[in-house]
Amino acid sequence: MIKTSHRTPTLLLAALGVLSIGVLVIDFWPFLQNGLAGQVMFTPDETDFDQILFHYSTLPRLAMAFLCGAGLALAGAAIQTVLRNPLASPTTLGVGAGVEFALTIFVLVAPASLALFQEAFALAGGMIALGAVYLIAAKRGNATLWLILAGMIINLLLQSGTQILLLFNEQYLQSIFMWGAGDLAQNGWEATQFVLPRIVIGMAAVLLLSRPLDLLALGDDTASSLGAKVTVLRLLILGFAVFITASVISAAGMIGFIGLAVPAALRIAGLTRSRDLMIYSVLTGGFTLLVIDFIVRQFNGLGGDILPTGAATALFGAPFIILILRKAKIMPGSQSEDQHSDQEITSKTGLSILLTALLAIGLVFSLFVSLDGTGFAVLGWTVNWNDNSFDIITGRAERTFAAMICGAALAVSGTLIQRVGRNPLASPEITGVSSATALAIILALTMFGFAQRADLMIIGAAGGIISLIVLLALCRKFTHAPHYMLLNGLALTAILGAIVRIVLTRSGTQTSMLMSWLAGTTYFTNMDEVMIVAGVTTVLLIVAIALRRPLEMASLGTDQSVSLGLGITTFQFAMMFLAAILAAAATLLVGPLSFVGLMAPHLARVAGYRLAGGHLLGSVLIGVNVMMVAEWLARNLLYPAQLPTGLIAALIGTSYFLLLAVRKR
Amino acid sequence: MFDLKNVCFKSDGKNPKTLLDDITVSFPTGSFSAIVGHNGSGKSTLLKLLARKNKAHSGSIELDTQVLSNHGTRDFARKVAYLPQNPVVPPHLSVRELVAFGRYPWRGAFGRYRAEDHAKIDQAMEMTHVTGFSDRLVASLSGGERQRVWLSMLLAQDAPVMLLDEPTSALDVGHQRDILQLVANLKDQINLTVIAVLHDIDMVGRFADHILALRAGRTCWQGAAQDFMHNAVLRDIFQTEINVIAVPESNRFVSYVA
Repeated sequence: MIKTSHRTPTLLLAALGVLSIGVLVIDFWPFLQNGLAGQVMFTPDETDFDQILFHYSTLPRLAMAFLCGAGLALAGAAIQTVLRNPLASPTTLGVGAGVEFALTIFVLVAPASLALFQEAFALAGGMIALGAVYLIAAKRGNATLWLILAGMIINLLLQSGTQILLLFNEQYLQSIFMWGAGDLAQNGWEATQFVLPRIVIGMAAVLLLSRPLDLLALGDDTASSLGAKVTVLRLLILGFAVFITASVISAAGMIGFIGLAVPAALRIAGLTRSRDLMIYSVLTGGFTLLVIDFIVRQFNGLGGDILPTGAATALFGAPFIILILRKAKIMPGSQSEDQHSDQEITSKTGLSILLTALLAIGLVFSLFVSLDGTGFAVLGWTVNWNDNSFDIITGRAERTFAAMICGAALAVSGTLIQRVGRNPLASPEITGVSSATALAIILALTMFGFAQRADLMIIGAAGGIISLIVLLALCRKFTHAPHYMLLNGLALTAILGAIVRIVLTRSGTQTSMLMSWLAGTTYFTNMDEVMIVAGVTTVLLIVAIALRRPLEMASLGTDQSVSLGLGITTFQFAMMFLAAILAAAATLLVGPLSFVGLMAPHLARVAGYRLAGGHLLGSVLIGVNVMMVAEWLARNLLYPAQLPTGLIAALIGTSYFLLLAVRKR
Repeated sequence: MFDLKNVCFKSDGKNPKTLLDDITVSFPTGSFSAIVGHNGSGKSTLLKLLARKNKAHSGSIELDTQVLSNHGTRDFARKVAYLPQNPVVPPHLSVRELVAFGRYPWRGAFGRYRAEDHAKIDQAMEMTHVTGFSDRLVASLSGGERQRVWLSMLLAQDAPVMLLDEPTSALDVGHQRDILQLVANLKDQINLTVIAVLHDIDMVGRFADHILALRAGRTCWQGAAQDFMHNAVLRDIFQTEINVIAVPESNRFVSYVA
């Protein structure tokens, strides 16, 4: 069995190797014809443009592609083995986002004299992100799923952080953005010289430690009883994996999914011993990125535009994840039943009244009080009441109202998705609905020149619904296993995110405006739109509440709902449809990244809103409150500068989940 | 009530396995039918076919002389109540709220629950002894208590046919008897038809009227209860050395493994 199982990976590796040789031959072809191959590699003729271009651009690019691919795949293999999680990788666990965030801060903030510490800084960023993810996920029932979810949350948090920094430093926007999308283009050998020793050191260390890695695969208890120092080993290997990732990202930017897809594919192909897995990962990863980069380069020739390799890799890699999820029974449905605590059933009327009161007080506060850089400024008391201040109030009211409506729409959308999907962690943001909406809107805006906001809203909604249908189609066989939906959603989000990044690098002058919309600013809204969204939200909320009985029954699962006479498939579809419309409407106002759709229903559930109707109302109240606070903070935190509301809400949301995670331990 | 003719069922996938082969049986109305057999013999598969959870099959299944798939979803739910082996336990519902779902087939998404509905719910909870914890969360109950809550929901559903997949697997002996006795009484009082997958041979012998035994997906024996409790029959069904002894001064039998 073990003998035969090596055949598939070997074949795979051989095929990729042949392809890579093909790539090399094609690249070298013009010089091979004249017998100049050796010359162009080592001592290029400085008078021949082709030779210089090849020697200082193509050749280092080839080397970089191989090195980065090999390094990331090895890092992924190591992380997967250490954490015993087939879906772990530098990108999914937030390491990449951590390094990116740290480097962005460093580039923007640190004085030049500290340049020496850049690497240490990046490494620390990656390690802290990974540590946070691990902290959240450790000691949970379904650790595999939690690890990925925690990674997703940390990823979003750090990416929002990076975006805030970028918004305030627009002059660097384009270049940092390109780098963030993973650019392998080279203009010399410096980057290769930078990466080569680091990756070699990292690889050597990880490979040396690979024998004890097999012990780790047996589980902590067994490993320590066999004499391995589990914690030290784990930290060492993770440290080196992060080191490799940080080096690659410093040199070439975010290149996602190689670190996830390559080792996962090799494992499915039959490699189980960690040493074999790693050696194969190095070569397979290198060859894969070499080939992908070659394909990407062919496209670059066409329009003169640059398609970043990292984003393209996500395009190749994420569908692959979906494939893996379908092929492999990665996670047994071990839904640990940890909800035995006898919750008290209490009426939530008091809490609802309190929340409503808070909302009213907060609204008044938000409209009349602001920070003006020196302290609180109360409008209407300090300033004489005149037309001017009336304008200010209506302006504020418009934005506050927009934020609140979005909070409500996302809360309803999230509640519906969580209830119908029977998954307390699903939400429009995580299932890809929001990203699809954003992508549809961006495409319509930049490629096809739609400018009417009403058109955009419809197009966005259509995009969201299509992505939801795709997701449901992908998951139809796994209706009983909610985590498949999440992981497929994650892959979809990654694909859509990659396309968004690619489109954004090409959208030129609109980039800044789109970026701030993506970050969730309410600055561009107008009252008419807000009223439309408010109307849609109200109607759909009423529909959802009217349907609370079947909505409640959906929590019994497909089989039992049908036994009780509910045509669940149609019902689920209809509810998801509602959720997509709501998410699209909200996305148009505050962008795709706000986390309210995840947080509000979750908070409402924790607060004790059990039944569907109450859950809907409770999460609307919470969502509206959160968005109102976020909007006030966004306006006033860095007055006179304006922060995007969506980002602030995302920060609030992720902090909440971090707190929750730490407290539950 | 249920009439099956030459029913076959194959599993999904590239190499479909025949799970049920040429089953022909007629479950009588107003009586307690038990399906028995070794693990993996196809008992639950057969029950799921009756409950329309498994669809693809050859042969014909009729309910009330109508092809099974011709019933609408609501209509079918009013006629047939089904309790799966491992029902999904919603984490947030109280016992009474769960039992109340039994009325859904009759009231739908918008219909108001009337006094008679509430009476039915109360009665169902009374009969299964779950009234005591009607305001506790189902998820906080023990396995046996949950099983009684599910049965209570099925009773509130008020359907003339009840399909039960190992309804007593988590119950203590007293409650096993109570539940089976309850079901047996209902069959007399309201002419309920019960089809249940059961494991305990003695309980089958005690309560069932009609018995269908499966072995490796095929009918291996079917008949009445008094013909069931015999050495030869049981040994043939379970391929194990089982003996049956008569209980003195009653016409009951008890089995034991030799």
